[in-house]
Amino acid sequence: MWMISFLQWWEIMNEFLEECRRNLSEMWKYKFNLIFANLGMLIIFYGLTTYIYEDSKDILIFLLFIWYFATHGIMNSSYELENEIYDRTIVTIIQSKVSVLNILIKRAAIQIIMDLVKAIPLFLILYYISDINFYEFKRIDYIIIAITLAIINSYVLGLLFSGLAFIFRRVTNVISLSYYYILFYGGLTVDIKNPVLSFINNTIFPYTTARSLIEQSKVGFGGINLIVRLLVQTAIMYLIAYIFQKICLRHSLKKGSIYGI
Amino acid sequence: MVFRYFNEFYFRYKENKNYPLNFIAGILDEFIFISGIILTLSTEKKINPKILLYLCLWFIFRNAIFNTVDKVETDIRTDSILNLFTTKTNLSHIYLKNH
Repeated sequence: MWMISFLQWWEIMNEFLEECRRNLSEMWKYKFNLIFANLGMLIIFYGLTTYIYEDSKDILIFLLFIWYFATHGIMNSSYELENEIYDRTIVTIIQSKVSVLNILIKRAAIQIIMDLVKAIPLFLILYYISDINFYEFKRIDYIIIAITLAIINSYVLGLLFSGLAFIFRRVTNVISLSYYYILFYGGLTVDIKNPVLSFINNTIFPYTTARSLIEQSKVGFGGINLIVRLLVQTAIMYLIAYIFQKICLRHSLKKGSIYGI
Repeated sequence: MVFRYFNEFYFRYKENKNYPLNFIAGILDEFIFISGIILTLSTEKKINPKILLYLCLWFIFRNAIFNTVDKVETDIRTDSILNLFTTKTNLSHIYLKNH
């Protein structure tokens, strides 16, 4: 029994790596586009770290790293689902034993690896040209936890929003509004005082908590409650996303709109 | 020529009307970006009124560069550039009018 599960695990890992390899070669095909898109990011990030937030650029580089992943995280699932619905391949997924959520999670994991491949050189260049030093940080583990949980939370939010694709079909344009909202109003760069926006940022998005945790890593203690908060937020969001997706899928199946007839 | 120009403008307007959510989302996206930059600059440093002017110019230039490249790219992808070659009009005139 143990051997079977190990073999199954091995098969899943092989499939996962194969998919990663396929994505990487596809990404490499459009290298010109990729380089210039990331160069644009580098210019924005360099401007923010060097000219606007030079006092807190050591914290900002981690927050920009989160934002880089968060934008794809929120959009990825909806984009995948929209394509599946548009190409009518969603029917095959629904009729198979694997759930839609399961497939979206696997694709999200691949997307994280792809983003990592793109983000590492980008942020290394930013680190060198912006002359940032990390000597003041006492707890690197807090930073790693904050980044990891904020990214996972973003993907979970993406799963939640993707449920809307079952009903409205095209939702990525509306979801893409969150890109700049997160950067400027989500608590990553500017401290938002507006009570409505603060409420949205504290309950839906994980970025203000992640920022506080990264700031706490300079102090060196008192970050446990923030970690717990991020964990609870992620778990609750996942539960909501799971239920919401089920409801939207059932609604769409009942209405008969998902097959495009 | 003027009539054709307005005709094209009217078609574009009708086309946008078919996708109202898309159109509104596009405008909102630009609004969030520009207001975010203004907010960032005004909280960290005193905002210079000139910045608004620079932002407007940047917005126009960015769209000018991006739109043309995007249009050419789409025309190549959909093979409609072949039709443009066969017409008597110069390609640069077509894309300039498209602006």
